Amino acid sequence: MFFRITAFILLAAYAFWLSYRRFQKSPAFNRTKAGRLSLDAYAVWAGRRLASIFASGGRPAFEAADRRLALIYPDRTLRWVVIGLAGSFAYLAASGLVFAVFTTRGMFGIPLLLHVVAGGLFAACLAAFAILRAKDNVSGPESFVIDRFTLRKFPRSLPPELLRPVLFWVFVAAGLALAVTALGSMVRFFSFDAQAGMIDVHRYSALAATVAAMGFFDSVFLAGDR
Amino acid sequence: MRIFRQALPRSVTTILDLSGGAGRIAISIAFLFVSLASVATLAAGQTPQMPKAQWDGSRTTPVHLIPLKDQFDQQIIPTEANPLPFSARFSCAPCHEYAAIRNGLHFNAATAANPGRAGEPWVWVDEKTGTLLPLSYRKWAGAWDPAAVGLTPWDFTLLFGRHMAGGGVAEPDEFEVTPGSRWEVSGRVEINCLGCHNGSNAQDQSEWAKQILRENFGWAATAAAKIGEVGGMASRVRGTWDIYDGPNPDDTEWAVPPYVRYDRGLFDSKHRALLDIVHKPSDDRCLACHAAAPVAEPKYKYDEDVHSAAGLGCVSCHRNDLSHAMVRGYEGEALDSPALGGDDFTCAGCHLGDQSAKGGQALSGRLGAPYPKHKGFPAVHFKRLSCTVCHSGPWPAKTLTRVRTSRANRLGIFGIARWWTDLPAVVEPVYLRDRNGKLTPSRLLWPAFWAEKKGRTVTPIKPEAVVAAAGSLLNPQQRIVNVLTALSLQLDADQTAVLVKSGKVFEVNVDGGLNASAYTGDLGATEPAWAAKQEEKIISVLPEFDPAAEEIDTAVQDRLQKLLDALAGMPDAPGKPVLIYQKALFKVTETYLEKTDNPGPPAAAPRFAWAVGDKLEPLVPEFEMRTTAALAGLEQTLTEEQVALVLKALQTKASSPQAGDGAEIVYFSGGRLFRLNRDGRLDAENDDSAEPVTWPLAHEVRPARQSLGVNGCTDCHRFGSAFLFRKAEGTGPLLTSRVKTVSANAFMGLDRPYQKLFGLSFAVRPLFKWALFLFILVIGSIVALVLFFGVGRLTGLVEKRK
Repeated sequence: MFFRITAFILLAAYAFWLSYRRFQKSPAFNRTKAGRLSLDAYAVWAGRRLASIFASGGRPAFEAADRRLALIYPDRTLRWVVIGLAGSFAYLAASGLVFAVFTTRGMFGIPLLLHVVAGGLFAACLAAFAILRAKDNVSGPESFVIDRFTLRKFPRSLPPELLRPVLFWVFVAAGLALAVTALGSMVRFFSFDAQAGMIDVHRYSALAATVAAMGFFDSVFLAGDR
Repeated sequence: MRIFRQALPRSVTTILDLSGGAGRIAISIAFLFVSLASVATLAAGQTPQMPKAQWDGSRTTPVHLIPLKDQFDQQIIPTEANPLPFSARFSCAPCHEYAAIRNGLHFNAATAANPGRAGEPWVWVDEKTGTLLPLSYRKWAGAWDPAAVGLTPWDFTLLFGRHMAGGGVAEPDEFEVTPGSRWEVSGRVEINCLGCHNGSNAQDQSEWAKQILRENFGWAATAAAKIGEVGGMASRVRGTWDIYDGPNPDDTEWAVPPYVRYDRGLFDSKHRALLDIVHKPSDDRCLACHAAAPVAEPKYKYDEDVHSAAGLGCVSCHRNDLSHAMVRGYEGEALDSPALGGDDFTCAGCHLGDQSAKGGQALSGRLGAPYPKHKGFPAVHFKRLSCTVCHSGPWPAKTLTRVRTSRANRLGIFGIARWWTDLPAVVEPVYLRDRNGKLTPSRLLWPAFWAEKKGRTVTPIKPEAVVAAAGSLLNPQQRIVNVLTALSLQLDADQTAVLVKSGKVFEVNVDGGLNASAYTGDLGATEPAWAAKQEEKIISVLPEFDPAAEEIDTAVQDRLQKLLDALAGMPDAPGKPVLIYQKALFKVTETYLEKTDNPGPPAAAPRFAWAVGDKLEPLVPEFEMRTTAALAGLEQTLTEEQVALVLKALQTKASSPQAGDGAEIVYFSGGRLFRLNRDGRLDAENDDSAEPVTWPLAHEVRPARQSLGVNGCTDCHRFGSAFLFRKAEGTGPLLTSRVKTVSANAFMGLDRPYQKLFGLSFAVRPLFKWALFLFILVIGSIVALVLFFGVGRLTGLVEKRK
């Protein structure tokens, strides 16, 4: 029950925060009274954005996403790895969190089968993604030095340019935990109590990965959006 | 003295003054005596009553050297002329409250408010009518209420008393006695305390069954415990006999009333009997009624329950207090019986402990139960499966395992006659969901019975009603038996008459039925042949002869005449017996063998027949011959043709006056309902009442190394898994191919295509795991490297790259 409440509140609040921040940067917000929480205007703005994504069958949105992807990841191989990673993770997060939050029984049937298959794809793509992008996400700006003064003022001391690498490594680490706990439940080494613990780790790792993925999507993929 | 006088009533002082000195003394003494007696009575009335039969804490069982009492609460004197049988109610009652015990699990079938989890029903088996009707007073799904079927407690006791513990419906109160019962002659079947608590090896379940069959209900406990020898049969005694009438001096051979001769060696000089009483019954006592064993397996190969092998007894877990409300040990029993102590004695109760309890109650390991680590077992299985799915019953094979149970198949009753029956066919394990949605292994039985169906209401018909309507239709062997018996009288002493047909030899057995064995000779190839069996050879009853010859050998004539005379003496002979051979017809006329012309077509081989008026009928009707041959050597007892004919006969005589218009007679067998269609042929269809009856099984528990899953996931999850996909075919007394077939996954409520796909995925699972391990290795290495790198930067051991 604790996980269900936590996950629901955290994801809903974070999604709202990210999208409201984007709304604050949009012209629609400027037309309202600035500084005040304009939920009505926000709802209209969000509805229009969603409608625009699915307009004309979603084709313009698809093409825009394709262009954005090509801009961020010019390398074709990397682009396909990202598509595989994003696609598999989207299904894993949707199926896993829906069953975990909204049902008591747990995942079963075809969704479970597809979840396992997608999990394998996710692990493969994550490994490739980590290999291809680790180097670019290791160091921050030249002026940034990790010392005790930085740590004392953490997290305000972090420059904005570090957001992407932090999100990257949180996602990779969470993905690693997901894969490890999934494999752990399939081998014959762990007792029932350990299995129960691994399920909890799996769930919270999924939550962390989802939060990191949402932030990554917002800060990297939608960054050029107005 | 003055004070004493002042305390007395005036009338008394007047009497004292008038009576003089001696009188005063006498009156004073009398008054003193009365006063003392009153004080004593008052004192006795105010003494607190000691509670009965409280446990003092001693772990020993008291020596039971006790007076035995009869049903009138009189002490039994073993040396008396006609002692009565002992009564458990009055013999055990001074210390053990009978009224508290009679509401126990074994005795409260008809009165229990909550029937609890389903258990094994009683099965009314009648092979002749093909009846296998599950019965229970406990309102379990699939079992019929005996009263609804027309069974009185008397009938029920006669049918099943062989494996009953006494009490309950077998011990009715006066107002519960029904017409037609003979409780006053037979006595009641009291709770048989010694049936469980007799520590002597002489306790004999077979003797109990025998006495019940003889209707010696009141004597059964005495006989079974070997306290005394019981003779006579209440079943033969007139209905007006009373137990105090004693024996009938005019009949000492047939209708001998029940009597008992006590073993005087058990009694001391004060006529107290020494009984070997145990507090905890041995497993043998429980297994007399609660055993199940595979049909095909020899006894020496049978592995007992792992708990028994470890030294536990049945009562180590199935406990009770004086109330005899026994712990059954299934999950959720606390909801049905809150007073029993919750889930202490379930699998989880001993092996896992009660996590929600405090102190010692929360600990596992009760009675030395090992803690199961279940390594590698995904946690979802504990939500969906009960412990017994993996740990109990036989290992899932390609077909279900057929078992016999004590109560359904009448096991454990030994004697000259065979008691146990092949039917009903009980199979296991079938996996079904309990009320918590968990899979539980169960035993399964397909019911078979005749019934009236009106709309959706089904009312079973009693076998005797079916026999009354069907007559000889249900006894096709009888004519053949009669013929063979008649012919045998005329054969030599070392010969037995047999019938040869369709490669089988039919011979009369000791029960008056027919045994069939294989035959590879020439006889009976085209027509049934009446023959003689001499040692292992089969020869024709009649020597070969030429029927067209003028003079037939006198030995042949003599033999033929004797055979015809024997057939003429058969009961229910429909006409005159004749022999037809080629164009000749032989018959016995006024003690002479007469040869005339055969009015019918020539017979290639000698053939006996009946001359009924001007017609010739076969010795055994074709229907009876055909049915007997079809059922030879099989456990089925009915053919479709028989069922159709019996349905017609029953429909003509609607057995229930309440049926009225619209009631249809049907027959259930093998999971199907059989009814006559408009053309008079038999149709088969599905019906709720044809569904199998099931009850969970928990024993025998296999060792951990023999549990499902010990070999990995593929024990259950694979494309062709027996656990998920094997089929349960309907069985029953009807010989037919139109039976219901249910797949294991259907019983479990699982989707077959999905389970096939899921099972298929386990074929690539090892490869998947290795791939996943490789990816984890790569990602883990990268993450570890970055961590080390970060720590190095923090400590200054690693300089920032330029």
